[in-house]
This record gives sequence, C-alpha cells and structure tokens, in this order.
Amino acid sequence: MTPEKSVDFLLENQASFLALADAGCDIAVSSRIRLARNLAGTPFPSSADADCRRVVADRVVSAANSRSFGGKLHLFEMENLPPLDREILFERHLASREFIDRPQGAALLVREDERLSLMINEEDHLRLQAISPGFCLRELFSSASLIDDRLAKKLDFAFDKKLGYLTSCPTNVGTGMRASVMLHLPALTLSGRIGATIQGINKLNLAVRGMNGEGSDNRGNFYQVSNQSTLGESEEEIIERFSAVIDQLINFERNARIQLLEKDRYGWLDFVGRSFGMLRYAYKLTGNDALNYLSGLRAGVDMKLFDRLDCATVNALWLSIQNAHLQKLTGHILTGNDRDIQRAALCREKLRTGA
Amino acid sequence: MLCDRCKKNEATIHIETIHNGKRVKTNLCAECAKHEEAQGALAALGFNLAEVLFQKMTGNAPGGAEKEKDAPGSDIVCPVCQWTLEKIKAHNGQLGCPQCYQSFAPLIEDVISKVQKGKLHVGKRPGVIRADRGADELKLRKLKNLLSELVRREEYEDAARCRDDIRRLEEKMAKPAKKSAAKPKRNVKAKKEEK
Repeated sequence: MTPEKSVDFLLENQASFLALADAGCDIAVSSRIRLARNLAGTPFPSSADADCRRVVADRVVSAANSRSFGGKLHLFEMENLPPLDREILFERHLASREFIDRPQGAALLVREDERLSLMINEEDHLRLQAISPGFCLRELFSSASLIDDRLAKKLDFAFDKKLGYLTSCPTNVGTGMRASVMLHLPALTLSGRIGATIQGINKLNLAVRGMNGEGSDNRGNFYQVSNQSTLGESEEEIIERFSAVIDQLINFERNARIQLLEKDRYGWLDFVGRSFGMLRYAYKLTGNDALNYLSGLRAGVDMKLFDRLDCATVNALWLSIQNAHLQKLTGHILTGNDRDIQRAALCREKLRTGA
Repeated sequence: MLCDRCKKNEATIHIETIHNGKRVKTNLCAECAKHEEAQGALAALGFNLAEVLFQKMTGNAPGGAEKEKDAPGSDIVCPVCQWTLEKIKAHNGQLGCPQCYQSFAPLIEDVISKVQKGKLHVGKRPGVIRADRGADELKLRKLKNLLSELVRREEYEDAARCRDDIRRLEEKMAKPAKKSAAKPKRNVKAKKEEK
C-alpha cells in the first residue's frame, strides 16, 4: 500500500463522526468503539525502539487490505506527514494526541468513509476504531469485530485465556474494548446539574472526559462518556450496561432543556441568540469561545429556532474552526491572533445567509 | 505551587473538576493525592488508575526511597523486555511486553482487582466463531441469575451445584483459545534480521 503524502483530500468530505445530521444526533453527537490488540511475543510500542515499531507497522499494514475493511483504504505514515497534517487527523478523531506526538513507526489506516480506522503503534500495536454520528454502539461493535476477526486470521494476537487480550495498560486488558459516546449537554451544564450527573456516572464505573478524550476539558458543553472496566464482562454486556446509562443521560438532558424553557425561558433563548450573534458578527473568536457559541447554536437548531440553519452547517463549522482545519482552509500557517480573526471571518461568512 | 490540602508540599498533581457548571482546579501533593485516592476521589475524576495504583505499590511518597527498596516487585525484571516496576511507573502504568503480565503477575492481579469488574475474560477470542460463544454466554448469564435467586431463597445446596456448573462452563469457555501469550512467539527483532 502506498502511503499518502498529504491529508488534503480528506478535507473534501465531512469528518465521519459529523457526516450525518438527522434526528437522533442532537444530544448524542457521535459514538465510537475502539478495540486494542497486540502482536504476541512483541514488545509493546512504549518499550519498542523505532526499528521494532516500523517492523510491527509493516506487518500490520500488510495484513490489512481494502477487502478486509470493506472499502478503499488510505495509509498515512506519521513520520512522513507534516505536523499540520497530523493535527488534521487528530481533529477528525482518527488519531490520538499521543499517537501523532510519537511518529516513529506510527501508521494510520483509514477507510475512505473514515468510519473505520486503525492506529498502528499507539499505546498498543493495534487500535481499531469504528466511529459514526449518533448513538449506535451495537452496530459499531459488529463492524469493528468483523475487521478484528479478519485481522486475527493473519496476525497472531497476544491473548491469554484468563486475562483475554493483553494490552499495554492493564486498564484495557480483557476485551480491549472502549466504547464511548460524545454527548452535547448544554442544558445540564447551564442549569448547574452537570457536576452531580458526572459524579453519578463515575459511580457506575464509567469515565467522563472532554471532547478530545483523556486530559481534555468540557469545551463547548461536549462530554465524552466511556466504559472503564474491560475485564469480567463480555463486549455485549459492557455495551448493554453502558447504553442504558447513555439512554438515561440523553433523557436527563432532554428534560433539562424542557425545564429550562419553562423556568428560565429567556435565559435559555438568550444563550441561543447571543451565541448566534457572536458567531454572526464578531471579528475575533478564540477556539474555546467559538465552540461555546456553537454549542448555543446547536441547541437552537435542535429546538428548531432557526428557519434557515441546519445541523449540517453547524457541524461543518464545528470542524472547520479548529486550529489545523482553519489553517488548511485559509492556506496559511496562522498564529494566535490571526487565527482568531480568520475563525471569526469564517463564522460570519457561513452564517451570512441568515437564520 | 503549594498543595491546596496540606499547604506544605509542592503540588505535583493538578485536577480539574466541574462543580455546578463551574470549573474548579485542585492542586495536590503526592501524599494528599494518595489520601484522596483512598476515598475513591481520583477514580471518580477519570484519573489514570493504573498509574496511581502502580505508584502506590512501591510507596512512592515523598521521602519514600527506603520503602521503595523493600517494596514487593521492585526487584523484578521482565526477561523478555527487561522492564522493571520503575519503568512501568515512568510510563504511566504501561507494561513493556505481553510477557510482563506473567513477570509482574501478583502486582498486576492487584491492579486488575482494583480497576476491573472481574478477573476472568468472558468476551470474544481470536479465532473463535461468535455463534458458539453467544450460546455459552447466554447459558452463563442464566446460571448466574439462577445462582443469585437460589442464594436469595437460601437454598444453599442447589446454589452450590449451580456455582459448580458456572465454574465448569467458565473453564470450558476459556479453553478453546488457540493462542496464549505464555508461549514465546516469533521475535520481531529476529524477523528483522532475516530480512
């Protein structure tokens, strides 16, 4: 497989996890299943030297092909990609921060529609990911599991009959599966109930993080919820238990929105209107500000407060205001202040048609 | 920056939480963080649990150098990747290679019992057709439900039989795994040299 020289062709399409904008994607923005696998008898990426990592990458890449992934595959080698291109992969939720920061032997396979991807030499040798908009973990697990089965025919995975799939970190051992859902929870946040909600979720052995995963904050009222435990339950059981919690969270948010409309109607409308105003008329917007206002805009779209604005427009903006995408779009390397100016210009332009 | 809790030691752990929609920053020293962790607070904050647990094992408290020498596992070296507990700690609780699970078995067992829901893998296995597994899993779940029902009704003889059935089934489900990490496999470096 020939490695791609640039990520530019990805920019022609919407990122997979934001691609669809229909009913059911309002609160649960996107879902993801990630399976961690390692090659037997081979040092984990953290202890392997650059050569060993490259050998692993070659082995895995030659085991994967378009047929096993059910669609055209693109290969990206982190060592041969400029930092800005790597950042694009991160913003499109195809690569983790850790992965792009340690490029030696790090390779990424992405199916054309970006819904299936495989990070090679992240924390584990293989991190297979299935991602899509909305809330659909069962379907994602079936598609990831199918690819996993096909890869297992060609690769010898480190597996122990008691402990299951052996992973670099014992927190992933067993199924090696992390299920996560990105939720947009503006009403729970604004009404001050998010703290108690997060504590409740944590008690159920689930983790809550910001939208960019580990170590990130809750920018734009987006939260990522994922399972903590990976051993002792089957994948199906984990997903079943996890999905029940997500269902409840979605209901909490829905009720919080209704309550806000009843109790503090003008406070809630002001949040939406002010967000639109800022994005439509501001001349400088930081990344965090823009995301927070997009949260308000999204809430307005969910409540059908805008005639001519749909979720697809909001999603497109959501991706393109992020640092690397913004720089690719404008074709310039931008520093802080210029970036804020360009970001605001882009938002004004996209929202000019009115709402 | 000083620790928010004891106001004495340098804060090395920084935690951000959301309280009533407002972001709250907490800065703790290793000692106080350990205290917080004891209350489950760090787990609740989505901390890297493995890292914290491995730290705890070797008593990595300020001035704990002496303790560290005698701590269980501090003299183990994995024969395959040459990793030590020190290295695992330095890599946020990540192990060096699949063999580490055996080399550091007692320590890992301890970590697993704290972070994981169970001790035995019941999910999918490489090379096993899913349909078979599904049937066994369903049977296992039914048996487990029956066991709790029998215990609730205090019918202990039947419960003991049911428990044995569960054990047998779990063993059967663990058996057909073709591949085990215990056996040494092809070595990447060796393969590279062939090339």
